[in-house]
Amino acid sequence: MVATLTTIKHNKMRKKLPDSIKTMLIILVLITGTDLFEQLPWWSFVLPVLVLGVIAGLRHWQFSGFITGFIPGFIIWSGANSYFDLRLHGGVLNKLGVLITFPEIVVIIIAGLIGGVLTGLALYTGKCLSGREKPTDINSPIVI
Amino acid sequence: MKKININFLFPLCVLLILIFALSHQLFNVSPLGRLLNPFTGAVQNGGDGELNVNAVHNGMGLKDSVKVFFDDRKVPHIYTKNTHDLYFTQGYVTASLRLWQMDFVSYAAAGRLSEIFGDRFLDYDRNQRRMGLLYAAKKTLTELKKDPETAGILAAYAQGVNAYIKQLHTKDIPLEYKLLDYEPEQWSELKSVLVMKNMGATLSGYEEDMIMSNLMVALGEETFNKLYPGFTPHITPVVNDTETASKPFLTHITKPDYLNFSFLANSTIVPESSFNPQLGSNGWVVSGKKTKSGHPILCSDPHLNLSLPAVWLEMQLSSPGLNVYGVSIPGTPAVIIGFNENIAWGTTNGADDVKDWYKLKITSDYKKYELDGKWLNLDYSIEEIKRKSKAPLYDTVYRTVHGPVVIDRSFQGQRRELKNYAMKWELLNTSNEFLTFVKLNRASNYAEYKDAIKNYGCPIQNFMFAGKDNTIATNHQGRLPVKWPGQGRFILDGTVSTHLSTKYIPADSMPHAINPACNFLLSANQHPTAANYNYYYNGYYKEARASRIQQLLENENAFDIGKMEKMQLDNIDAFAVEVMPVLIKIIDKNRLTVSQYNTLKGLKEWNGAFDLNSQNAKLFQLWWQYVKDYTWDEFNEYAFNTKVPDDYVLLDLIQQEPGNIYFDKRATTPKENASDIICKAFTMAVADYDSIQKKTGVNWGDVHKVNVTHLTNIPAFSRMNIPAAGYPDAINATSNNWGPSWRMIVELGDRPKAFGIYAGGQSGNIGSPYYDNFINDWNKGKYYPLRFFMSVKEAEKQAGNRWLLH
Repeated sequence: MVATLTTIKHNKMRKKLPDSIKTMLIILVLITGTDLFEQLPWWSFVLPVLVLGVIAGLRHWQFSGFITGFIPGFIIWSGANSYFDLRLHGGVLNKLGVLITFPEIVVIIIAGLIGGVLTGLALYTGKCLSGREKPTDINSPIVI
Repeated sequence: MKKININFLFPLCVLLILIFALSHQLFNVSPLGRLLNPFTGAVQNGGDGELNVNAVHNGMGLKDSVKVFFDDRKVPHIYTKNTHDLYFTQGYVTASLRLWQMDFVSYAAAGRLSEIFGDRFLDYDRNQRRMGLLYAAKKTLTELKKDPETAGILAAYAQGVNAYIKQLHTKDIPLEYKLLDYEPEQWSELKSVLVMKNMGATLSGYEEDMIMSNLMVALGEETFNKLYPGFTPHITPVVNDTETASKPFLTHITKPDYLNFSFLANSTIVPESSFNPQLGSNGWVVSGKKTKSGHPILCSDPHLNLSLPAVWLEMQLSSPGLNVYGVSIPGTPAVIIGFNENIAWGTTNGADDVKDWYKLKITSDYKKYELDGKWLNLDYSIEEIKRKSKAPLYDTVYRTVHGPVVIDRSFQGQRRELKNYAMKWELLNTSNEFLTFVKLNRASNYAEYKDAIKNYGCPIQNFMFAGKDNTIATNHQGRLPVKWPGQGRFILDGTVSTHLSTKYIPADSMPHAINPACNFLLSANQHPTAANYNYYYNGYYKEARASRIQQLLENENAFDIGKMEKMQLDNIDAFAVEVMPVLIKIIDKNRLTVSQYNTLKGLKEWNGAFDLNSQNAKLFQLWWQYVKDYTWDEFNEYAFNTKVPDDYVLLDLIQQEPGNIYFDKRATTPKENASDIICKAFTMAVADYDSIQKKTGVNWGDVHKVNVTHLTNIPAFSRMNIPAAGYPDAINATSNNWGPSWRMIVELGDRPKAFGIYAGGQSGNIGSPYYDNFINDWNKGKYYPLRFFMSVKEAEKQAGNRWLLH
């Protein structure tokens, strides 16, 4: 019985894997694409992510709403900050770090957390709107 | 019936709350979402923007095409075909380099910082509005617009700044806006006037009327004149007329009859002024008769706050009839200190007292005030002070014929002793300083220089001039009121019109000199004249630097640029050189320990230089400070803040009256004389010195640190604790947060040879490599060759990248 349940769970995870990755890739494109429009407010990227959550829910894609949004959001906000800081040689993040008396890496992590949390919440909200996500899923284990 | 799905509400609410919180400045934390967005946030302010690339900008609103060349230090060289485009482009380029700085200074001058920082700056704003800079700037602008040339230039400059703001991408908005959560606003002519008034306030805002009033009453006429003389024998005036006899009204001030305890009642606690009296400058000019090349050399180094972004922005402006190089003030058109093919000019602060206070009689309902026995209506205006995230505050500012009533029943600020006093400040009157600099930029000889400076009103400056034809000149220029002896040095009586100054010293009677026999002229915030001037005046003059400059200029007859550099970097304090032998002679060596005696022997060898590695400079500073503290300890007992007498007064007292009562320490039973307190001061100084040696070291660079501070005082954006040579009373007048803000040396000739440097960098962008790249070289005493291109062809050949504007 235990073995059967484990097998079912394992199969479910395998099924979720492509949906999660697919969703994350789409989010990466959405965030980057939205941010190309400079005149939009800084938080505009959450809107397409939220819509994506609705569509994914209606299409019965299997993934954890929050975590699947959090990871690409974190990667983009921390990664892009690190990339631009290196490319532009500005040391601005370092100066911001000095301002809050933390090393630069902490600034990058804070940026990542902001991007991650907002993207995760947007995706999760979208999925809830479609009626396919239960609130408790926010505490689901990381499944990718 | 289908159940409504409300599961999304909670995460949606959390999302919205987070977006709101991260979009706004909360609890003084910057809007982190906006700031850390990688595509439009702070990180995008890294790099140097378009400073290293060739760029083309179209649709700007120019009349013709414009070329801007940037050299290796990113100094813009602007080439235009008409005057409108010249100042338009100056505005555009200045904004591209310093937008936040110029905007912020205009906010600070206008008393609008509450719009950015909230209520923390409400008192500052109220004080600023009441002082009247915004009021005066509006009034001045109305007058300036009557002059078509000035109006056209200010409008073109504003259009240029706004053209830059219009095409500014969100990601490129200066970091300070993102950090402080506000947006750049449209530039206007008023903002340029405000920036100019702000500089005027910095240079003419200091006054000590209340302190001097209290001291005159407390000390009495004789002692006051002895301790606070208008003139001492040690002065080296800007203009030295040795043929006229001295005027007693300049050297001895009779105590005004109205000035007594009763008049000054309720005016006892006087806080220190928020204006810095030390800010000044050095300037000197040498005729070709004293130079190796036979061409005149002009040197100028204004001493101002050392800030980031720097006070100055270097540039070359070129259009038909004009080709000038120098430094400008971001936010205002034209070059302020600089040179062209034919002339060079510099300025130093005149340091005259042009700010007076009048004690008023006002009715309790603030509707009337008394003047000559009549009750006149008290004028007023209502100032709207906008506040961040709060409703505006409406503040009523009252005005009399004298000027604004800064402190009243509803606002006491930090100067409550001046409640119901009116302030008369020359800066609040209208004058056209812009036209002075516009005309100076294109002047080609002494006559045109004279025509240019005649427009200049406030703050009074010593203009230094050199012409290619070997003419050298200086003018103490500005509007200096005609006053009776003592008028304006003390609080004045606002109830009588005889205390109001209504005339100015005629322009041709203002101190000036041209081609003196000695072949040099100098100014360093010292007295403009000897004690033989025909008019009474007073001010906050400094003598030590002028004395040293005079000495160096007298002793050399073949100056070149290298020797001038050495002079500008001279660290010797002339006062220290003068006082040291006196102290060493008078000290009773028998009362010193062997160790103290050896320390004294070391000090004896010191040449008075505050060099980076000098081990004696700190010891002298400590010693002299103790001598002053012990001598003037009586002043601590007054209920009001005081200003101790000038160092030269104390030096004279030590030499001429070693038994003077002031040398007796109040806290001790024996009666001390000068020798006693000098000895005691030395033992205390040595104890402190030894203690400092153990903690930090006593090389001057260990204890003398310069801070070049960002305008917001954020240390992360500043360059702090830079070990530096120099001393406020040395020619290289460095201090904790102010100093030589632009060192310039120009040798005229067939083609001007010029060198200069300032403590900062051309870009105001914190993330740019050009933000503070001059500071290390400035601190090491290096100079950059100033690349003055004689023609656009030269610029095309030699400059780096370029912008084309259409």
